[in-house]
Amino acid sequence: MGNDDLMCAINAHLFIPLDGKIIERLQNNVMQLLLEADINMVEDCTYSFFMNVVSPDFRNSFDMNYQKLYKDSLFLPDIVYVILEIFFVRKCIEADDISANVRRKYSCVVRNFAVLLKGRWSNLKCSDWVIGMYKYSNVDIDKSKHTGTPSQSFLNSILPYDNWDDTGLDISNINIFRQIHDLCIVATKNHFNNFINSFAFSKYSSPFVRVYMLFCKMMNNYDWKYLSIEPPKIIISTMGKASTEKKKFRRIVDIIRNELNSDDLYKPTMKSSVLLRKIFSNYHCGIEECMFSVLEFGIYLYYELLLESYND
Amino acid sequence: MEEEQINNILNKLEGSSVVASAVNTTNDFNSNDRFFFCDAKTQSELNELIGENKPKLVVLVGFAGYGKSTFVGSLYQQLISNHSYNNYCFVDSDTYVGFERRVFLRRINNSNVSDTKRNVLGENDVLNIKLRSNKGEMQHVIISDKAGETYSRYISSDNDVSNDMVINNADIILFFIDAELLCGSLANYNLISEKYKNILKRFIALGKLKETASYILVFTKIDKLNGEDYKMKLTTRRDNLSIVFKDIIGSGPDDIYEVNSKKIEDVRLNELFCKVLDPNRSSIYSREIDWVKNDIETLI
Repeated sequence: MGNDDLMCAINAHLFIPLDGKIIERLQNNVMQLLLEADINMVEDCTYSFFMNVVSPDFRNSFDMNYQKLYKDSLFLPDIVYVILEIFFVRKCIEADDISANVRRKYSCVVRNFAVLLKGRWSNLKCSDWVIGMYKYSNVDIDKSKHTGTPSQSFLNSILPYDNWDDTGLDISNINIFRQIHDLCIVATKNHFNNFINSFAFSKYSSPFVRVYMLFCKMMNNYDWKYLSIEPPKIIISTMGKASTEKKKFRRIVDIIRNELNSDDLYKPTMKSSVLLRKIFSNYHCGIEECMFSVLEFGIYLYYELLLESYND
Repeated sequence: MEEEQINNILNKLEGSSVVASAVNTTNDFNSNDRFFFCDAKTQSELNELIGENKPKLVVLVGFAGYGKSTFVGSLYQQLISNHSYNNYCFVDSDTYVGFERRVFLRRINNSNVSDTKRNVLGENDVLNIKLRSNKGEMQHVIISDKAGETYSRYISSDNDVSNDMVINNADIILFFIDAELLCGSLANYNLISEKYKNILKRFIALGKLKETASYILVFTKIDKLNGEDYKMKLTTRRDNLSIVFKDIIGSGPDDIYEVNSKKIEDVRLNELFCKVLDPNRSSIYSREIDWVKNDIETLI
């Protein structure tokens, strides 16, 4: 992404455009901040961007770094900082030196926080950038790469052993590894289908509760993230017509909190798990009056849980 | 206070170049008159008025005495009297002094005293208004009210037009026409028409008119037109002038208003205020931004 991209994004929101030299400095400054990037910074910047505010931490880091780099201070309207926040996040996602897993996490952060603008999409700045960041959440975990030992739960899905050494299999051999990996995938798929078919849906009266419990239990029990799951298909196949039922989010939260015990509520760790956090702790998130269908609610929930699982 | 003393205090307070620029005195009139807090701003300070959202920019265009400042003064008077427009009420401004000056001008004009004190060439033209709706939504509007002599300069100077930073950023442009002058002699009508033709052609040639900007023709001082003859003349000449605008700009005005800017109860004046302060902007967004809806539609 060149200066032109950033220049267009910033100058579209100013009366007097910033010149190329200033834009270059802003871009360089952001690149410097990438060295300190982590999931917390990405969450902080993404949240602030979607809320159309400037994160104090980002502003301080940015200004201090700029001062250090250029021995100068610069007045920037808040709108420029807001754009720089999402520019920073985009750079984090597109960095060459991060793993696919980290890239997926960052992309999920953006997807998950996007719910804050439900019904107010026209308020979003730099929407092309945001759309471009979504795609990294869906990259399948590369099954073909000989990377590390398959997990314990994978092992248990096919063989009754506690560790790979006990099996006598040479998993350092790439062909054997791939065969075992494929076998594990098939076994996991079977387990997953059995789980879906046998899930005690009738236990819960509301389809919102059912979809919440379905995905929370999936999260806890299976290596399902290694499968190519399409959440909308699962929801429609399990909920049927009920997947189109709609309610306001605050009502959905009330229903779930009333029907389930506190032990059943999933405790999220990520700031971007907006829906999960609201359900768990009933904090004010600003989207209480937004309408969600069961299908929409389930999809948002899936991706929040997906990120939570990546972060385990 | 001497300029040097001001600079010393400011340097102690803050080192930013923006604050230092507040004492930059390159205007035509005395620097001591210039430096009031909450005075109107210069166009070079436009970016400082931007917060987390780019404000709407309304530009008033018109030659000297066409009623721009009277209009602004009346708008301000209505707003500070808690009048709401589109359910939005006035809450703040960074340019109170700029507005008060225009209210003063309005009062001077009302008293029929000789019109000696208008916006002086070089005086700051940028004013801002902050409003809040009864639902707590904020709206920020910037108004550019330049001295009429500025536009007279524009007729013959590409350089001056090129340096104008507000026209090309305008969301709405109000072109003011003195209806009394328009309906006077034919020579007066032709003069107004030619002046506007000239300035519009210059705007177009220098790429100053934003495609998404809307423009409105505002015919002022209609209270001075008495009798059916004048009213008929106004209708004819107003329509002819609209055609001039349409031919040069490529599209007709979004609306035409005939107002008495001094009379704050004037119905059309208040309708124009509503239009200027309308918070609704056309908003288009890509469907893909709602990725969940997109996922569902892909599935279907």
